[in-house]
Amino acid sequence: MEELISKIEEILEVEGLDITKKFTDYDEWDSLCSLSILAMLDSDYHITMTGKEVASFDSIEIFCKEVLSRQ
Amino acid sequence: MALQLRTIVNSPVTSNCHILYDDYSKHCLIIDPGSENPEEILGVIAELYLCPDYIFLTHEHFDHMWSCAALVEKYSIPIACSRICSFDIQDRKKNLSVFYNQVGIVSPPARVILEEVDWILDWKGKQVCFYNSPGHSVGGVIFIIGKYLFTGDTLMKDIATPTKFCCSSKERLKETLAFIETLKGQHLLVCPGHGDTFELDDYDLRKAL
Repeated sequence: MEELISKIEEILEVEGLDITKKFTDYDEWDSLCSLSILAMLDSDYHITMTGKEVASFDSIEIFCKEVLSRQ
Repeated sequence: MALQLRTIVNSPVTSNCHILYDDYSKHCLIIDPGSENPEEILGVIAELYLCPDYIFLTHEHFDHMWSCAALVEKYSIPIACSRICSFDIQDRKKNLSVFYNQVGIVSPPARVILEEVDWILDWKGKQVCFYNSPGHSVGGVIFIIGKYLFTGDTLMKDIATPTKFCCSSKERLKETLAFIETLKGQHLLVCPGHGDTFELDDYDLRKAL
C-alpha cells in the first residue's frame, strides 16, 4: 500500500497524503492527474479503470485497497 | 521568406496547433495538430491557400497529434518527430489517448525521424533546428524556425511544466530548461503547447518547475 500511496503523492504533488480523503477533495486533482493515475495503474499494476471510476471512490484508501485486491 | 503564424486551439483538449507559413510561397508547416476533428485546421489551410509540407510534433501525447492520421491521408505529408515520439504516437497507451476516452487513437509513424537527419531539417531554404527536450515526456523536442521557438508542453507561459506521467522526469526537465536558458538573447518568441505565446528573453524559466 505504501508504494501505491507514494506514487499517488507524486502525481498529486502533495506530501503526507490523507488517504481518508477522496481524490476530488484535493485542489491539485485535475484531468492531468486523472490521466496520470490511469497510466500508472496500467503500467505498474496492469489494471484498467476509467477516470470516472477513480474519482468515484469514497476515499483514496478504498481505491488503494481495490487496486491491491486486483493484483 | 516572410513567416506568419496562425494558432488554432485544439479541441476537446485545449492544446495549441500552430500553422507556420510563408505568406509569399504559401508553403506551411502544421505543428501539433491535436484536435479530434481536423475541420478547423483544414479551414485555415484552405482560407489562406496554403500548401502543407510537414507535420512537426513536439511530443507524443494525443492532444498534440489527434489529427495526424486525417492530415496525412488528406495531404500525403510526412510527420517529423523524434524516434520515441514516432513509436509512441502509434500506441494508444503511450500517447495516453486510451486513458482519455477508453478507445484511443493512433497515428501513422513519422517518415522523418529527427535523429536520422541530425536534428536539422531544411524547409524551403530555412533551417529548422530541433533539440531533444526530455522532461515532460521522453520523446519531446523543441525547435527553432526563424524567430519562433516551439516548445510544446516543455515550456508554457506561467504554468509549471507537468511531470506527472510515467515517462516524465523533473530532473531531465531541469536540464532541458538549462539549455533553453542558453537560447535567451535571440529575441525568440515562444510558441507553447498550451496558452499564449511569449518572449523568451524576459521570461523566468523557474516558473516551469
